[in-house]
Amino acid sequence: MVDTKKIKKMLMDSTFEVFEKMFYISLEALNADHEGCDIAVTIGFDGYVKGEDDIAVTINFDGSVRGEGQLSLSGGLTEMMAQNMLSLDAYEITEKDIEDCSKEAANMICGNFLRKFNVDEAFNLSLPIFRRNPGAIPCQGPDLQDSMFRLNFVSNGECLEVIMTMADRNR
Amino acid sequence: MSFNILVIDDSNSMRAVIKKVISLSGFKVDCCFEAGNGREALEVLANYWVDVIISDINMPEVNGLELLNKLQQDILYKEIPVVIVTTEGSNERMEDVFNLGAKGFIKKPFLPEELRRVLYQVIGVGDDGGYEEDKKNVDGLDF
Repeated sequence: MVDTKKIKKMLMDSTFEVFEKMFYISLEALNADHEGCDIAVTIGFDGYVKGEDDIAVTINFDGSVRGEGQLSLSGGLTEMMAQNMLSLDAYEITEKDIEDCSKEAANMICGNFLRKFNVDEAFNLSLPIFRRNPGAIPCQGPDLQDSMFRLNFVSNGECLEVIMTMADRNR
Repeated sequence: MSFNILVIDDSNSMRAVIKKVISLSGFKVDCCFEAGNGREALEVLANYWVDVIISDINMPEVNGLELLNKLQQDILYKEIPVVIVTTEGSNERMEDVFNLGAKGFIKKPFLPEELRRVLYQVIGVGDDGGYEEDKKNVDGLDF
């Protein structure tokens, strides 16, 4: 269905762009060659963010392809995002700020990625779903066997995992 | 002249960012109203005069496209310039929103300068926050 390397590059570029423009955070990809990298190998997780303060956000999309984007973020990263986006000090950040910023990040990464994937098509995006302390969250994409792209990033010791699953509309 | 601006987004954080950009951009703002979706926006419009609307698309209850549709059907509201700020930046979606009467379109993520530039284009004010017409008049004065 897709060129794996090209899709991963689009997803990586989308993620970088969102974090740099909206959150003023420079991410470091753990897989600079866009070939995928298991976060477990690098920082000890087994594929999912699992800390007590960690967060997962999912968003679905539908169009000529359908699928799901999922962000798993360490709690410290979401605090950095909220502080930078809203120009607030750490003590001023509320849970609502963190939820808002995390959802907005998922929304923007997914929308940005889909625009790069097919600029001529309007995809329908769902409202993002936010979960605190999600534990291991298996990706709920339409068909894991079809196309699943996972990228991992770090910034100042905090981590981010982006998973995109995609399937043809007719499957 | 100062403006009344309505910012519509289901994200408090995004509304805060947009308001911050507006305040730092030199616009003379009288009131900056907020709404979390299209339904809340219509309630604001029913009670206050608004000069410019800045709206997201993907929102609960009444989304941005539905709101544009409703504004177009109202003889009073259809003249209010609307700038769409959204993650949905495909050519098809841009065509949709312009067909529904939007005057500006900004893709998220955006730089503050992009929002500022589009707002200036839509409401016709110069970089100093003054009207282009006022500037022309001043420029034309012979001291």
